[in-house]
Amino acid sequence: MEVVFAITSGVLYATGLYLMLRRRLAQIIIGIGLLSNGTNLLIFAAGGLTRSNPPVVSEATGQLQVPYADPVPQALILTAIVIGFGVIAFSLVLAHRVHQSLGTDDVDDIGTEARR
Amino acid sequence: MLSFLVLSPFVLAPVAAYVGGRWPSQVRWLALWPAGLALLAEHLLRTQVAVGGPITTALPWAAPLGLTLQFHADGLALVFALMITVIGALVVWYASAYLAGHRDLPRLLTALFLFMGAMLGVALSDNLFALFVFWELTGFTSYLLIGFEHDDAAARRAAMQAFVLTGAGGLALLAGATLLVQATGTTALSEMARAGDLASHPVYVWAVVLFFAAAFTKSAQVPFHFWLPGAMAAPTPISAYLHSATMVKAGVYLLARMTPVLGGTDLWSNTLLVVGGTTMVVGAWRAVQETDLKRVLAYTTVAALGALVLMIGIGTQGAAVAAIVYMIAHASYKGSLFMVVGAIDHETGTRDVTRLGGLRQKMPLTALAAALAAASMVGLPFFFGFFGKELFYEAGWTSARAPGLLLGVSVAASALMGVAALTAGVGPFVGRLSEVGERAHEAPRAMWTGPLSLAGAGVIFALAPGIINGPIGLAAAGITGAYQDVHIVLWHGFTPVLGFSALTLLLVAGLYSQRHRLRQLRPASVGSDRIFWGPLRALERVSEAVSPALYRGSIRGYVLVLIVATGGLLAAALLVGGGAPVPRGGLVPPRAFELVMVTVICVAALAAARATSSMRAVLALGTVGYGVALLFVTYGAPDLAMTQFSVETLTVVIFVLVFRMFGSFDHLSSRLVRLRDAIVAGVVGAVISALVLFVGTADEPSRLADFFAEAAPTLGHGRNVVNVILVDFRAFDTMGEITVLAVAAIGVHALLRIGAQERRNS
Amino acid sequence: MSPLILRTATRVLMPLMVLFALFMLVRGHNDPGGGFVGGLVVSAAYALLAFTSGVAEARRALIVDPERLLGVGLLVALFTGLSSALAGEPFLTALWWGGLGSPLFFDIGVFLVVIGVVLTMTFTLAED
Repeated sequence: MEVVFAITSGVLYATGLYLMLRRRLAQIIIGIGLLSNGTNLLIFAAGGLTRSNPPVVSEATGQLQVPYADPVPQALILTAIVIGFGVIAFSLVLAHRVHQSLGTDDVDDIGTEARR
Repeated sequence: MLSFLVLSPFVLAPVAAYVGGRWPSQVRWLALWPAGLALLAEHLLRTQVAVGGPITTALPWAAPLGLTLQFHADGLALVFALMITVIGALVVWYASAYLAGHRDLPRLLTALFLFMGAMLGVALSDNLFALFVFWELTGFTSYLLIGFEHDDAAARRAAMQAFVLTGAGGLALLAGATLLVQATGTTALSEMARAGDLASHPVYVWAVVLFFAAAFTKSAQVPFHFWLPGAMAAPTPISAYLHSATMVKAGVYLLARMTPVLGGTDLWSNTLLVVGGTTMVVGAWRAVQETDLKRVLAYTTVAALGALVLMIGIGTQGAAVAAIVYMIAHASYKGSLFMVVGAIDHETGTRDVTRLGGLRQKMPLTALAAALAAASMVGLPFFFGFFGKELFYEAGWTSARAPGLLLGVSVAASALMGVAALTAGVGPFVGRLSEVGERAHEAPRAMWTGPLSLAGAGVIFALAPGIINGPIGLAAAGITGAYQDVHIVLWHGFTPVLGFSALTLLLVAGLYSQRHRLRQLRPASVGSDRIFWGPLRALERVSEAVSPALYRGSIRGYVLVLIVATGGLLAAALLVGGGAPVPRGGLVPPRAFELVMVTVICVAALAAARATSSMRAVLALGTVGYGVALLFVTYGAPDLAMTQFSVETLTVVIFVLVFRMFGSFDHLSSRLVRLRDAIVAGVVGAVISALVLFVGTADEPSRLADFFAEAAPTLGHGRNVVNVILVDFRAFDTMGEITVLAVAAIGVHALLRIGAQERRNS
Repeated sequence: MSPLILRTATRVLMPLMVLFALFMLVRGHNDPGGGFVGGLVVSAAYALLAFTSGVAEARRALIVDPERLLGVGLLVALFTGLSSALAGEPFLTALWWGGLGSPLFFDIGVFLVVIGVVLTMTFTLAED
């Protein structure tokens, strides 16, 4: 399954980066979204995969049930997911405003439009 | 008390800015603070250090890093602190009149008090790293003060030059300090001297070279001397304070401080003798060729700093006493002469000695101060400068190394400095009143009291040397490491040294009459300055050539460079450093429904990349998100899965709200560009796959996981380890995160409200 | 699904979702859940309401301005952190009074900020 995770992460990166190289702001933002998902998978896989118990301590034993998933990458990813939401929402609105003010969402035109 | 001495100027700095802005006419009373600090230093010296030896205090700062604000006051440190505070008080007093009405007076005062605190920190720090911090702070405040008139390109240039040079010296100090701390096992200067024989330690040579680099740049020794005349772009009170009396002496002070630790070897003594001697001669020689009074004084300062370095190089008890006396004498006459020149400049608008003359009728009190200071600098008997010169000659005469040569260059340099003293202190006041002097008046009171009291102190010390014998002896002990009683006297019989003093006076008289001829010997160009700017210009040309290629103004270009560079570095790291990963126990075998999920994710991602309408792309992105959430469920991360589901839903909502405004995603770039981008993205994606495979299968058990698993129920009182990490162990991060989120939300709100307003207005 | 059915369903679902979110928030320290998830669920509920019945209706149902929730949430988290400073501990050190701990208050701060952030964004966007 590690191989499968690796491939998935690679595909998300490749598609995300491809979209980030496009000229439309909206496509760039979707690319950022794919890239965030790919990165989350990367961090998740880096902690090691276990298809088993969540890192929640059992009430009965006072111990984690072995094997348990690594809680550290989970905490990192949880933060990343929420921050990613903030980033995407903000950049979307920014792109929307650029589109409204300049009448274009083509990054190659924004410079020339803004100078006018 | 010591902490108060060092830290209170930092507290006063913002107060000074406030006073300067609110009551500009009352600024002079700020001088009372350093004056009080001077009394405190004097009190500590007399009642504690003289009786019970050095005093030490320590404030915790960053203890885990070995950083404590440990202050150590011995005679040397307190005499230096006395100079800093006394002259500081006079300079504040003087500047209140010199810059009266200047709109940036508050800024000057702030930097001045910051500098004062930093300088006291240099004098009193026992911890080498704290010393370094204060040292850099003096360089930084000096930068602000040289560049005070920042509308003037020359001032900015000079500030930059001084900053680069002394900043580089500061880095050398840090490196040298690090070496010493490793070699001796202590960060305290006072303990290093007891650490035993360092001279045979393998790092000794490096440590000495690095400390020399720091001291020589700060104290403007050849070949780094050229920044000091440039620094004369600072307002005159600043030149008097930083670039004559205190900061430039920090290098000398550092050498004196390090003598018990590093001194005593041939490398140490010979380098100091050669560098100090050369600097002394070069400075004195250049001084007599200048016509701008401030530059004349700047070069004599260079010469005096060279003389001080030379005396530290000689290293005997006599030389140590001579260095202290010379330093005090120099601070008194040179500080005074700088203030006099400032007063002349203030009243006549020029500092060109060839245009000045006869000012004693118009400015009698300034003239008196100038005459007293010049007499001390020339070395007339009954002035304190005389003692400095006598002891200096005697130190050279009794040196173990090349006494004849040392005495020769000392006499020659002193004679030239004497000429410069007459040029600055007598020339503008005698003779016929020149045209620029016609409308001159006596300077405001605050501008003659300062120089007059400094020059007057020189006379008092000369007539009653008994009052400073004690401090001088204590200060010299800081250099040599052993206390000896000091009795400097005005008259000690007919000695060879007295003969050389007389010879110097004759030479001064002879050379002064030939001063115009000396000026014509001025070299055509100044070498060091060009050497300094040459490499910097070359660096600028390189960036001018490189930047346009990298910064083409196209955001896609930047992204491409970033992607290729990151991917390349990652690939290189994996190929070179990685090797084959050592798989842990066994890989997790995939299950059929997981493979289906993953396929859905990959297909959706590709669909998002190829989508030709915005709605399709958004739905594809959402599918990817939900798919990833399902993966989280399967692999023991319910918290992540829940968060991802909710976030994905809300993301789609926001996309839909915004994308009402966007049109279709038809292709903007050519087929070729798309192909190139697809290849780049594909290759980097493959590198990422390799990375995930590598880190995901490497056999490195996570110790953090075990720690958190152990600590969450016990320390964190919670059974959900992920949540305990978020709200307890790493709560600071979460605090930062929600702040970022809040800022993003406010940003969205503001952007949209501005948009609505624009639409209303148009 | 006609808008009417969706609207009615939302009316019924709303209180349930909010209750569920509060439950998630409180139990988060011991079981899956917590301030982030709880906040997101509440936000989703109100976003749904804004879609079906309009932003004005959703704002009324929320009672407080989402911008205010943002600030209040940040302050709650900050004061939780500062309270440990009052007890002489470093900033944000957890304090426990029996079963009740300062991390819960911190999580409530997170919860409020998340609601504030998401709803500020969605409401202003929907009104634009």
